[in-house]
Amino acid sequence: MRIGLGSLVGANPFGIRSTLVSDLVMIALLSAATLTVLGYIHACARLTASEKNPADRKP
Amino acid sequence: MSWQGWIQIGVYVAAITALIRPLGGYMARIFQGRSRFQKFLDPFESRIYRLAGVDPLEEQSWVAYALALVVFNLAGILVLYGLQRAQNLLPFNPQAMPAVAPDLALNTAVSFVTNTSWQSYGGESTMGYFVQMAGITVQSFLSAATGIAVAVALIRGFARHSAQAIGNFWVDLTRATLYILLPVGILVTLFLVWQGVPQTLGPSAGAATLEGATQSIALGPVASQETIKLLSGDGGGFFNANSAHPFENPTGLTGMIEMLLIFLIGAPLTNTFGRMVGDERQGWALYAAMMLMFAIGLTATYASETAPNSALTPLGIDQSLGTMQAGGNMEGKEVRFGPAQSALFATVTTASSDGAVNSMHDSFAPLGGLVLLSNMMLDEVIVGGPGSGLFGMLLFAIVAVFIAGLMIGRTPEYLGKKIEGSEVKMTMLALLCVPASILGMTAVAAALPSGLAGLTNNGPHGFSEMLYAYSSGAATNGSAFAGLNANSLFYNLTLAAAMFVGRFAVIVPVLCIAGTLAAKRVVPASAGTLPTRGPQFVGLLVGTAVIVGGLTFFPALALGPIAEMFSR
Repeated sequence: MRIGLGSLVGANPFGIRSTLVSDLVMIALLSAATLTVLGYIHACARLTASEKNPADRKP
Repeated sequence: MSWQGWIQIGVYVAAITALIRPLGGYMARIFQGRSRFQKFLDPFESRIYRLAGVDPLEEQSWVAYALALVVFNLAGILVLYGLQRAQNLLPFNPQAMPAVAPDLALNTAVSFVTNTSWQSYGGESTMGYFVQMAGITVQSFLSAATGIAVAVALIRGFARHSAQAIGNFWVDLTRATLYILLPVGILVTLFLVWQGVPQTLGPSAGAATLEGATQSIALGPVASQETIKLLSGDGGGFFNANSAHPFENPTGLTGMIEMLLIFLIGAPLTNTFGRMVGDERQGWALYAAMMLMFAIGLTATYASETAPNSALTPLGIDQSLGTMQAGGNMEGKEVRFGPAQSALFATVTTASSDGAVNSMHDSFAPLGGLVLLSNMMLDEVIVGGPGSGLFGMLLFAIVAVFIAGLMIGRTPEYLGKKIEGSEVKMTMLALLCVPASILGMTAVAAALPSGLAGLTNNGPHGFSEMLYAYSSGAATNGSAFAGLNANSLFYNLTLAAAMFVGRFAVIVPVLCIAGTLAAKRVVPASAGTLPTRGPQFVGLLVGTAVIVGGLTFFPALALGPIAEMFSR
């Protein structure tokens, strides 16, 4: 199995050949996506926390 | 257009409308814990929580809800990825299918967990039965339950006041699966088996052709996957031809039932919303807005597909409606269904997030293709997927009341909740992520050799193929325009990214809105409150959805189907 990340842009400069490495690359991509979503949740939580309207807070 | 076609369309709309109240009421009772059926299965439900270590009475803040959802979904991606990569080692693989390639496995795993079901593969030639059953079918159930859970959490945000919690993700997920998806799934699977859909673990059947060759006829556990494929809004076919295959969709009756299944949860959820916020007419207003947009799109598609194909007219080919032929644009359509059911199916499948097809969308006339693209670009709010359509439409409702508030100089309110800065920012974040993903990735694909290599058509039609692929991915639809060779490293990874963004970049802000709304107090209605359950609001809502969608995507549509329409 030949997975070349470089083929994303029409070339294949890396030429990754190992299946195991290909799996690791896919899992790394998924991990990066996971971290992005977690960061996204954190950013949304901070944004809403900073904008909480005092009138709506519980007494 | 024929009267038979219109009767078919009328029966479909009447049937789905008749199911709104009973199913909407049932789902409301399920999520409020008041259903009799629920009491019957309560010991089973309680055992699931005990096994999972979940306290069903412990409610979650929106952050805890979102974290549980994301962790659960990402675990699902890893499991489905692993199943595909180890397919050659797994049982129930009579055709000895090899392991799926890493990039295709990642694309497929993301696709089914995000409720998209984009398929860069042919099911019967790539996936063994175990992966189809334990991987794809399971994720179809769970992704639909996830969407329903998010919609219910948002409804609670509107329905509650001065609350810090929006429900428990694990409870919502379990109830959606156990009381809604599984019972319907079992009943309809039996119906499909009766109608002739295969349900077997045996290998493909061999048949001798008239020429003396041997043909392999793919079989498998089709009926069980077919039902949830449609009910879940997933749409991924067991066979490459999807619902155009006679083993997935053997009769006209199954065609009608399959289309009903696609809307069966998304449409009644509007009624669930109305009941849970204490005013059913609020739900009917959302349903009316959905159906208005659906009717406009369907009429345009049906008219377009029953008109003669302009490329065939100069050749003198008879394309008129008659007793012996359906007439119109029959290219890419199954002769059993013809242009009426194909136009209806295509509009239903793109208005929802399903993506199952019974005809090839690539062969639709430019106007038909334009409608299908537009349905997806509107973020699938015309009924949409289970849950995702409702929360998408509620996002547009927030924008609509915000615009109305700006016009009359009053703080916008919706269902007694003030819509303020954080809700509007979260709404815009959710609504803009999908167009950014679609347009950005289409631009990248149009600029890179790897993107252009997948095209089988040049010019506006080729551009439409790319635009359709990313629209389908980011809107979590999953239908394919066909004509695009998407099983390449470039398309597998970029489409996986589009699906990921289209799902999670929308769900997180929606849960955030649910959390902030639940914490607010209810403002009593006054003379200055915008009524949100009448025709005026329906018009405002449709106008907001169309203008936001139209302004965002019009330049891209002008380069694709509109340019093609004027060049014919």
